[in-house]
Amino acid sequence: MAWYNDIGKENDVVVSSRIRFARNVADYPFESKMDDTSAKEVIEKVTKALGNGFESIDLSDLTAVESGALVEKHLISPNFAKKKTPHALLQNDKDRVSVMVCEEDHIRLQCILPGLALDEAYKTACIYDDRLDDKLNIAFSGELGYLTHCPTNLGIGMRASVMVFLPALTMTRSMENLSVQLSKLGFIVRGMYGEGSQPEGCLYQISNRITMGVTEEDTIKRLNDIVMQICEKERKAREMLKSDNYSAIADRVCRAYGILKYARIISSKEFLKHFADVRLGIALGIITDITYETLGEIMIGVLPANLVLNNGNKPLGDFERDVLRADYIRGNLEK
Amino acid sequence: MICNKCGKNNAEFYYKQTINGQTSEYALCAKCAEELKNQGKLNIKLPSLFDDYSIGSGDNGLFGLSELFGLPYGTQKTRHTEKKKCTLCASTFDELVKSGKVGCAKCYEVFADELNRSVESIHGKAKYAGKKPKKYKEKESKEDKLKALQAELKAAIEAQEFERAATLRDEIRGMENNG
Repeated sequence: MAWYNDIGKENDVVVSSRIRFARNVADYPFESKMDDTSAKEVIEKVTKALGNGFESIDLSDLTAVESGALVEKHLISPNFAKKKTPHALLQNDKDRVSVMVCEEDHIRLQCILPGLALDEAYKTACIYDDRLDDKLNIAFSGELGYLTHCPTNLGIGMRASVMVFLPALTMTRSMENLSVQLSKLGFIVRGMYGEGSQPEGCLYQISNRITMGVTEEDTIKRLNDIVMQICEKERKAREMLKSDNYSAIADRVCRAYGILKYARIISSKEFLKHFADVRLGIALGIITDITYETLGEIMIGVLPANLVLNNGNKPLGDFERDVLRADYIRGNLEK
Repeated sequence: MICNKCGKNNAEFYYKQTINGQTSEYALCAKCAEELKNQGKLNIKLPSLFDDYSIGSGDNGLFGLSELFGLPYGTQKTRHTEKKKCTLCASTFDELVKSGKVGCAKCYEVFADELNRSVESIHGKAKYAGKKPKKYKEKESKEDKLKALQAELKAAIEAQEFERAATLRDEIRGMENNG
């Protein structure tokens, strides 16, 4: 089970929680100044330091579709997938920890958990961060904190983020205001696929911007408090939608469910639109025969690389893919 | 060169304006430039704190200030830092400016003064408050202990307790020799 197809706290609003640390090994140039030999050495050192429980994936062995599937599961960044110089992914499925070695920083360690679980994700990430700290000479300064390739990450070098599902706040056009308020508090709201992406499927990412002058625990506590408040607002707005005009919302939800269940050709964009309505339908108790877990599995499974990889792994045109996507969705909803 | 306005700080900023064919030139420090800009007397865009979250991710990047400090001062500054290279990755400050990224951990020491402004423009004056690697904490506590022992030693000498002073001195030496 992964972050997207498992149950977690506040699942009706919070899809997943993620903690990411950026670290570098002192005595080696940062990624852009590194030659292949140093990169290989760093990969070897980090692999050894993390020890048992990690599977090492050499990205240069993967096809574009295979690495694309990892990007879609948020296990690696798009830039990491495209890299030509030595880089590796170390994965610990049991703890849902993955480590990109030689990304923008030598080490990008992350833990993604389902639902609202920032504390747990932090604790787990720390276990492995401490292991690295113990075995390697991690670049650190008392004044600047963890030393990173890009000075914007200096300090705690930590990004805490949650993926939230906010259909009612989107429908009531509250997102812009929320975004402005959160930005004043030092948090950023983005679309699901990170920087610059448009919010689709009413999925948003909220993460901390400030890394200096704050502690990790404070940052996590503040984000947690913010998310709990957002949950409350979203639930209130959902109840209002339901009580204002139950028939209208039930109609919208059930039509969306009908399309997902019976369509024969469907694009990613269309899927995400109906996905949001169906997920809202589960939250409102209108749809009772599928779970967040099933829908979560489909949410990742319909994405282009995963779709192709899990269904014959043959190159497909847009039209063929849309047909395959509809088949895949129907198949999973019928299970 | 000293700022023409306050006459105190180093000028970092050259501004040339031509009004009705009459050209005047100013050399200003960052503070005075900001002040004049706020009064509307300086018609240029100064980068502000957290101006743009994408700082550092693009080509115009992180050290955007250097573009402003363009020619006269810039060349002066480049001449000064051009020779200076990082002892680990051999980066020059110019390379850092161009890429918007730092070459290695050592660069943060070598170019501490040059980077200071960028770091401050991104993070403000906030001091680091997060967790520390175990090795760093051990080093820190050892330094604290050494300082305490040295103070004790001084006190012992002043009090003419030479036997205790000798013990303390040996303890300090022992700690220093252990790396």
